[in-house]
Amino acid sequence: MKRFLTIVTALLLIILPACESNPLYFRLSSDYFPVSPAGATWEYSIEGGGSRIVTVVDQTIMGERPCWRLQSGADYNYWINEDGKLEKFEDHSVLFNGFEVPIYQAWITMFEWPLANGMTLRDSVSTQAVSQGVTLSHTWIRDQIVSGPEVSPGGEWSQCYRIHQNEMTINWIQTAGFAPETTVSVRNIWLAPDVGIVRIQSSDSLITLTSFTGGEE
Amino acid sequence: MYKATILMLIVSATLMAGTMNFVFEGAGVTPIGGWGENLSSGLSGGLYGNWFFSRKLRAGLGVEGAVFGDANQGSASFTQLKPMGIVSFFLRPHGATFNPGIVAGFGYCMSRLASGGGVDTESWDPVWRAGIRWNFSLGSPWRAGLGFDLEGVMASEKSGDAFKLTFGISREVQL
Repeated sequence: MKRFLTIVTALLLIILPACESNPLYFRLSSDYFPVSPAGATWEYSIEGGGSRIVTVVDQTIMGERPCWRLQSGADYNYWINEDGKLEKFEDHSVLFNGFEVPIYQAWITMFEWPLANGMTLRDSVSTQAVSQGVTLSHTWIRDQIVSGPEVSPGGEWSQCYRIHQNEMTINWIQTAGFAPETTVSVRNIWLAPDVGIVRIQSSDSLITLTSFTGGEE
Repeated sequence: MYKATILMLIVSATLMAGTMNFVFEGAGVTPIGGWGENLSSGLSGGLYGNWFFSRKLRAGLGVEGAVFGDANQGSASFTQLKPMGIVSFFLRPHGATFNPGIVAGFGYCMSRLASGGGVDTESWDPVWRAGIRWNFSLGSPWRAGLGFDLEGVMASEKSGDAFKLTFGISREVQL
């Protein structure tokens, strides 16, 4: 018995110094973008003045799928968080000659779970519609790189993942006098466990979570 | 090199005389709690060397590896590597068809998450396991065992608990 205990002790002495513990199982069990239940509310402050309140309103059907409806100001967003991914319903249209022309309606994947440091995601949409004999094309490409876990820049939230988003949109009204319009936006989003978005930072704006209230199950 | 030499010397000293068995054990692993929500059930395999303090009481060392896939056809994978000390007690060590026993283990677990081409920092945490076995003979010196374990990785903030259905074969060796 003494010999066995000696071996175990020696092994622990060898192994332990190389060990580093981190809350990996906590991160795995956390919801990094809770879009339910109803009543959950996020209050954000916008740098330079203003605030934004996002609330989970209810469950509804959108694009033939049951989803959660979130209200932000006068806008509604539709989200599904299941089967290992977070999806958002996108309803994109463009204004042409005084008409609102629908380009596409689809569920777009925002994130895939579980997040991990170095994870990369690419999503894209390429579509076109014809209105008044003119082709309107729309291309959207978003690259995301995940880093973390880290503490949010304000130091309030730990075990966050930072999503670096690079989004490019090309709209083109394919008729004389119009050239493709390309828009590039780059932002960083910090997601905290069981809270969701705690900070969005781009070159010209900064949005920070000031309070979060979970809804009633 | 220094640490490896110490380990080799200790293992060599232990293997000078006595009776041992070597056990290979495979298991189906089901995560308990939310940590496995985006992971599939896992498979594990372990190799252990047990020293016979008596026919009934054994203790040894081993290493076990487990792998979990993505629950949603994604690219996530989760792996565990567990060097452990194991103690087992069997009631009827010579029983041909029925030799019930209990096992308990304690060690360390290295956990690693990979997803979407990224890899999280590995975590080393204490791990325990406890279970029961139904052991039976396959013809000397081979035996086999069925059973189940409860296992817990004692990670910070949230433990990684799991239920395991195990099947193992062992071979007894006289040194």
